[in-house]
Amino acid sequence: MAISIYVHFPFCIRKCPYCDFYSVAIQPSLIAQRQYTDALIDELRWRASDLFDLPLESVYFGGGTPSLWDPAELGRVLEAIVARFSRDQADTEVTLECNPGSITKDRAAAYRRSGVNRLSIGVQSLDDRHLRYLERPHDGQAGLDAIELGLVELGRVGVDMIYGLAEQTTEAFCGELERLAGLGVKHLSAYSLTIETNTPFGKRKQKGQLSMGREEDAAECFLASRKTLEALGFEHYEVSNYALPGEKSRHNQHYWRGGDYLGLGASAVGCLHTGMGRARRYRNTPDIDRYIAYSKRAEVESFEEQLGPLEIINESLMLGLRTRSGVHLPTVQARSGLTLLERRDRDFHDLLQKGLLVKKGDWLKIPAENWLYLDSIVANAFMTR
Amino acid sequence: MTTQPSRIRNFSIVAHIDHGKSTLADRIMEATGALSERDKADQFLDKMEIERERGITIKAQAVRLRYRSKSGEEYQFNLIDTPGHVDFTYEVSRSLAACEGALLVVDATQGVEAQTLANAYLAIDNNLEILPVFNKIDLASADLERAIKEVEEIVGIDCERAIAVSAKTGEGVNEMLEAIIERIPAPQGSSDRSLRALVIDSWYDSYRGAVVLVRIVDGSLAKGDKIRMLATQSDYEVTEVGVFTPFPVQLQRLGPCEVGFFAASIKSVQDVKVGDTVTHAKKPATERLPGFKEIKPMVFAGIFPSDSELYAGLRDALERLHLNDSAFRFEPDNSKALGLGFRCGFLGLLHMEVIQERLEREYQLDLVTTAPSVVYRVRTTNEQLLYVDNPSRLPDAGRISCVEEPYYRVSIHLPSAYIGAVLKLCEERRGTQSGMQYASKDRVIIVYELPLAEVLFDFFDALKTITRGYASMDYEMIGFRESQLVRLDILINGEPTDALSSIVHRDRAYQAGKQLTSKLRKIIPRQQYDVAIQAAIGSRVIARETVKALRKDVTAKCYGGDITRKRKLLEKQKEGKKRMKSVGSIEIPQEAFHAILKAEK
Repeated sequence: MAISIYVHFPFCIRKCPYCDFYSVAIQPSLIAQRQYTDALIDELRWRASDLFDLPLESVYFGGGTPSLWDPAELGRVLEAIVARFSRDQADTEVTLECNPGSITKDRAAAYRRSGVNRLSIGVQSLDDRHLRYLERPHDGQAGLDAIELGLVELGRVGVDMIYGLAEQTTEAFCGELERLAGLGVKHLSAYSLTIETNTPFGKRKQKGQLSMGREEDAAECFLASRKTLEALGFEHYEVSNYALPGEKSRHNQHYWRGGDYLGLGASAVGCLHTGMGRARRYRNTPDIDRYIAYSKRAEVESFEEQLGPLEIINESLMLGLRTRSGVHLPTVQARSGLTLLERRDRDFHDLLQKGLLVKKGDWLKIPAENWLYLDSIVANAFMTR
Repeated sequence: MTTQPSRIRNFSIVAHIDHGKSTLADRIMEATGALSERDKADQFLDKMEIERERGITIKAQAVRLRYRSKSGEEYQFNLIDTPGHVDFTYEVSRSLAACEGALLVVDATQGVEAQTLANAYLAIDNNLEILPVFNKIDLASADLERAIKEVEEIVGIDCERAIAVSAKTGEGVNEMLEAIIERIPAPQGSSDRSLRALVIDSWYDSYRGAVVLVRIVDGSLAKGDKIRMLATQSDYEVTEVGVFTPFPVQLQRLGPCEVGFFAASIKSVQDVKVGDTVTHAKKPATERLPGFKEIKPMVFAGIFPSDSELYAGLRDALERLHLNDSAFRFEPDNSKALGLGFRCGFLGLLHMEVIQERLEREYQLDLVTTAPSVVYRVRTTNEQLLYVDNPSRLPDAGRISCVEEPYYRVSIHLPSAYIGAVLKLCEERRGTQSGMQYASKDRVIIVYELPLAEVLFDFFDALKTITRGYASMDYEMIGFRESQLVRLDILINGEPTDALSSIVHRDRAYQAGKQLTSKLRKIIPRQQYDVAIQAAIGSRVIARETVKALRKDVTAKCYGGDITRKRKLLEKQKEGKKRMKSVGSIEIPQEAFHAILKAEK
C-alpha cells in the first residue's frame, strides 16, 4: 500500500476551448504565488496530520498550467511533502505538467533542483494548423523545443498528443508519434479529442459550429497509433498511454489500480479508503479566494462522497480494465470486501464467455483488441444492487 | 335479523374525478359513527396503494351504516362506492343498478365536467333518484350559483333542493343525510319470492376464495344455502355471509334489499360475472335480473419479461392478478422479437397501466410491454370473421376483404376559446363530428365519433396540452366500422420485428412509416454495426433510416479528478440496459415499443 499526492495549480495564460479541467486565465505576473503556496502547505498539514504513515508513491503537479508556478514556491510544497512522508528520494515519481512556451531551460533546471524528476508536456500536435484549431498558445516548434530541454534537464519526459481532429490524417498523426519517439521521448499519451458539453467546444458543437473529425477516423487512428508505437518497442499499457519498458507513469497507474490519493489545491479531488468496503472522496472548492481562506479546515471541501463496496468494485473495474494488466482481484476483494467472481449476474458471465473479459490468474482484463468498445464492456461488467 | 326495506336506503356517490367523492364518503362514515378518528385514513374506501395514489377507485365496495334520523328512527344505509373511471363503465352501471339513489357530487369551484355528465346519465339510465350535492363550499373560489345553473342547464336536473356541503369541514353533511331518507325511495323487495341477488363485484381472498358483493333483490341469502349463478349455471354452498361496517362483520343472513357479501368456496373471480343473478339451487328464480353483459377487454398489449428467466415469475404474477380481476385476460404469446410472454387484454388504458404498475411494483418484475392495440374485426376473402388483437397477426392484404375497427363516441367539455384547436385535433384523428352544444356562455360540449385506436394514441395528453388542462372528456363504445387499414411492419436489419408492427390508416401509412423510423433511429442506441430500420407495407418498403455504427466507445481520459462522474455515466448506461431487449443481436430499448404511440401526428 502506498499513497499518491495530486497538487492542482489552477492558473493558465489562456483557456483551451476543449479543456474541462478547472483553471482561470490570468496574466502570470498577477498570480498570487506565495498566498496560494502557503494555503496549499496549510492544507497538506491538516490533511496529512492524522494519516497513517504510508510510503509516498508519487506526486503530480497538474493544472491549469503548473509550469507557471514559481519553481521556488513549488519547491516549498515539495519540501513540506517530503517532511511529512517517508520518502525515498530516488523512489518517488514527481511529475510536473507543463506547456511548451511556459517552460525554459532555466526553469526546467530550477524545477529539477526543487525535486521534480519527470515532465509531462502538453505538445498536443506538431502541426501548426491543428494547434490553431485547438487554440493552443504555442506552435509546433515550441513543442519540439520543450521536449528537447526537458530531456536534457530532467531525462524523463512524457508527451501528450491529441488525435481525432478535423482534417487530420492517421498517417500524419502516426508520423508525429514516430518523430517524437525518434527524439528520445519514452512516454507518449495519445488522447482522442473529447468534446465536453461545458466547454467552448461543447457549446460550439451544440450549435453545429464545430468542425470535427469523423468517429471512424478516430477509431482507425487509435488502432494505427498502437501499431506504430508497438513497432517501436512501446507498450500500450493503458487506453491512451504508451511507454518504453520502465517508463510508465507511476502516478497514473496508481489511479488505475484504485490507490489512495490526496488532492491538494483549489478544485483538487482526493480519495482515501476508510475501512473495508468504505472510501471517502472529496473535492475542494474551485473558488481560489475561498480556497485560500479555508485551506486550513474541512470547509475547504465543496463536495464529498462516501463510497461503499459496490462503488469500490465498479470503480476498480472502470479504472483497472483500462490497463493492459487489468484488475488485480485480491486487491479489489480486500478493498471492497466483496468477491468479484462469485457474481451470478448474467451480463458478467456473458462477457467472460464471449472473451470480452478474460481472467488470468489473479487478474481480470479486457484484451486490448476490444478496447475500442471498452466503455460498454465495463458498463456491462458493473455490479448493480 | 334483517331490516325491513322501508328502513333501508341504498345509494351511491357519483362525481367527476377530484370533485371530492371519497372525502365525502369518509365524512358520511364519520357522521354515522362507522369510522372513529382512530381508524381514519383519508379515503378509506380506496384500498389499493395505486388507487390511492391516482385518486381513483377500481373495485366497487359497499359499506353498511346505521343512521338515526332526526325523528329518531334507525335506518340502514348502504353506501355503494363505484369505480371512478370510464374504463369501468359497465361495473359502474351494475353498482348503480344496486341502488335507488345517487348523490351527484359537483365541485362548486369547478362546476360540471365531462364525467359529471357521463355519471349522471348512467344514474338516470338506471332510474335512480339523483340528489345534487355541491361540495367544497368552504373554498373562496366556490361559485354555488354558477354550479347550480350548470347542473340545471347541462345535466337537466332540478336543483331547487340543492344540497351544499363541505366534505372537508363537515358543513351540510347532516342535512344531506336527512335528505337521503326523505328523497331517495325505499327499495322494493319481497321475502316471499325466490332469491335473486345482483352481483355487484367480486374479489379474491386467499382464505375464502372469491368473495362476492351482492344486492339482494328478492328473498334472502343465508350461510349454508346452496346457490346457483344463472349466467354460468354453476352451484356453490355459501360458507359465509356478511357486511362491511366498513370492517367485515359476519351475519346469519342477508334479507331483501340488503347489500353485503358472501363466500362460497368459489375458486376464482373469473367464475363470478359482474351483473349476474344469484339464486337458490333448489328453488331457482326463473327470471334473471336485467342488464347482464359479458365484458370484453378493449385494449391489448404484449407483456414480456426483460429476461427470459423471469417468464415463470411473470406467469405466476399474472395469475395472481387475474384471480382478483375478472376483466383482465391473458394468454401465452410468442413473439419472434421478444420471445415468450403474454398477450393481455384490458378494459382500457388506465386498467392496463394499473396492471403494469402492479406487476412492476408488487412483483418487482422488469417488463417489456408492447404498444397497446385495439381489437380489429377482419372479414377474410373466404368469409371468415376474425378478431385480431395483435397487429402482427393481421392477415396479409390479399386475404382480407375488409377490416373494421372499434369506434367511440367521445364527448369533450372545454372552454369555448379552445374550440378551434380541439376540432383540429379530432379531425386529425379521423374523427367525425356528431354534435356541438354550448353548455354555458363560455363552455362547449363537442361530440365526436373517433376510432378507438386514435383515442389510445395519447389523445388525452394532446387534448390536455392544447386546452392547457381545461378540457375533460368521456367516451363510450359505439361499434365497429369499416376503415381502410393496413399493417405497417418494421424491419430491423431486414428482419421483421413483430412487436413493432402497427395498424394504420392507409392514407397516413407513408407519414406514419417515416415518423416511426425516424423516431426509432433516435431511440435505438448505436451499436457496433449499422442498424437499418425499415417500415414496410406488405413487401413494399416505404421508409428507411440507419443507426450508424458506433466505431469507438471508449473514454479518452480517466484520472483522479473525474472518477465519480465517469462511474455515474457507466452506471446509467448499465441501468438503461436493463430495460433493453435483445432482438437478434440488436439491443432495443423498451421505449422503442411505444414509439408508435408518441409519433407526432
